[in-house]
Amino acid sequence: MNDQRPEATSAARLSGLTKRFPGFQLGPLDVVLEPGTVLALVGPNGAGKTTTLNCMAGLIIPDEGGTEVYGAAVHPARTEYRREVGYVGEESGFFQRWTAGSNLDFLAKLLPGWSHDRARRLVERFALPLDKPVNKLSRGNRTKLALVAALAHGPRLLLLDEPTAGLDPVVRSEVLDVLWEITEDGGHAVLYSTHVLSDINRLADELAFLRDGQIVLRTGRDELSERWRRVSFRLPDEDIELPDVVDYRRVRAEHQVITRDAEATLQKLTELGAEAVEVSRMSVDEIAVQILKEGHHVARAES
Amino acid sequence: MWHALRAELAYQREYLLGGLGMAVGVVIIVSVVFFAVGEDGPPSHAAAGIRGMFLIMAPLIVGFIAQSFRSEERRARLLLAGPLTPRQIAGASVLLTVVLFGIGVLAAGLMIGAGFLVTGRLELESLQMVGYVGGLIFAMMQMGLLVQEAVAARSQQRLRASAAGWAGFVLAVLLMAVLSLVAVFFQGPLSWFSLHLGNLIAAVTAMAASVALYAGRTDFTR
Repeated sequence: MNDQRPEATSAARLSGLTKRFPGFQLGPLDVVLEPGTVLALVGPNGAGKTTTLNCMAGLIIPDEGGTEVYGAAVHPARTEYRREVGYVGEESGFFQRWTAGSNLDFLAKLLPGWSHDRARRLVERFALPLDKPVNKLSRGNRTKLALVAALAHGPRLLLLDEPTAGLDPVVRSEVLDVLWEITEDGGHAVLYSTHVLSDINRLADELAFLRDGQIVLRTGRDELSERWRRVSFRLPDEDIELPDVVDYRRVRAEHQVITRDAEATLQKLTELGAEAVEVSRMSVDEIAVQILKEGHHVARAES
Repeated sequence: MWHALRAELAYQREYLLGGLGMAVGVVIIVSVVFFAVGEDGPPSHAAAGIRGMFLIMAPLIVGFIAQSFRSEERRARLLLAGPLTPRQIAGASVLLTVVLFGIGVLAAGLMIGAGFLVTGRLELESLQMVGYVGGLIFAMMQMGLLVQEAVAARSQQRLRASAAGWAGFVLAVLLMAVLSLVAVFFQGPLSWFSLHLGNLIAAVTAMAASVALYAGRTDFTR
């Protein structure tokens, strides 16, 4: 591998990516991740987030379809794409009895493009204790070490599999700060799997909701929080048909709905002559829960 | 690949030095006991055989430990971040055992050489015996790696690959058995050669098959 890096229109491209396991199928997934974009992959446990990232990192070979990273095909037997990928997963394969410093020294010789300066800055930024064996590091410090290892060779695509899971609020904030700084310059594309939805508010430009191995919705973060609303109103009619409503409840005389397009729903309510209309914003967490609960419905509506 | 192999050896340095240290301790104790019983004790080639065996066994046991660590610590995940192919990763794994076996053979050879300098007797018969038993354990280790890959192939639904792995294992065992029988029934100058050849063929077959099966994996996360 040399320092000549391919220019490509997409940082990552998943084309019909499919992986089957007994009782579960991921995909087919078709996803394009543009350079400089942070895409959060949101979904419950078992939705297929980790498998998607493992396929993109070349750790799992899909049954059908494939992945390209900056135009290079991803496959374990090929190495061209690896210079561009930094992966932080639950397990990183470190030499557990070696110190963090020894592991970084090993990687410095293994990974082309490794920058000692970049690694040193990250270690200082994280206050990572280099003299401690990995198996004696806290979970937070192990995550920091994995991030240093994933970033020091200067990849342009970061694959982060729940990097803040299980971290205390202080460490989580430190990790998110660094990720935010890294992504701020727009030089990195990031695919960030999480079910800690508050992370999304800080980092993600776009969200892809994964449920039962399928992406049920992909949307911009701002678009999501601007369009989704909880609306309550009074209307004598029992049998109402409203556009874009994904959840409906009746509490005594009041109708309560959740809509994925507040404007369209409110317009219809005005036409129907609804009274006591109250609109409230929803947090990203609430919206995500709704989307994943009603995944198939939203998918149909979107398509 | 060599960088990964060197790192694995360095990672096991404490175990290797500890194991060899213990083996040397056993060698000293055995030597003292045999020296104390003198002519009334077992023949000298038996003493040399016992001493050599411990020196070969120690690094091979470290080989078992090293493979356990590689698997437990999911080393492939780290190595696949760099410019290594699965074939090279599997190559480093089987060569790790080869290097450790080589260290054991070298230590045993040095011990027998030292015995020659002290007693003036070159215990070639014991060297053959030690080499055979050590080679047997080495071949078993390589077959263990092959079985591991055959099982992994089965769990990844690569049924033909799994069947090929088991077939390779059976073939290696059969070859070893046939060449051992040849050595027993046709005793002569080629007996030891036949036994060593059986171990070598079994080990090389297992190594080649396990590298091929690993390279064909569809999942490197475990």
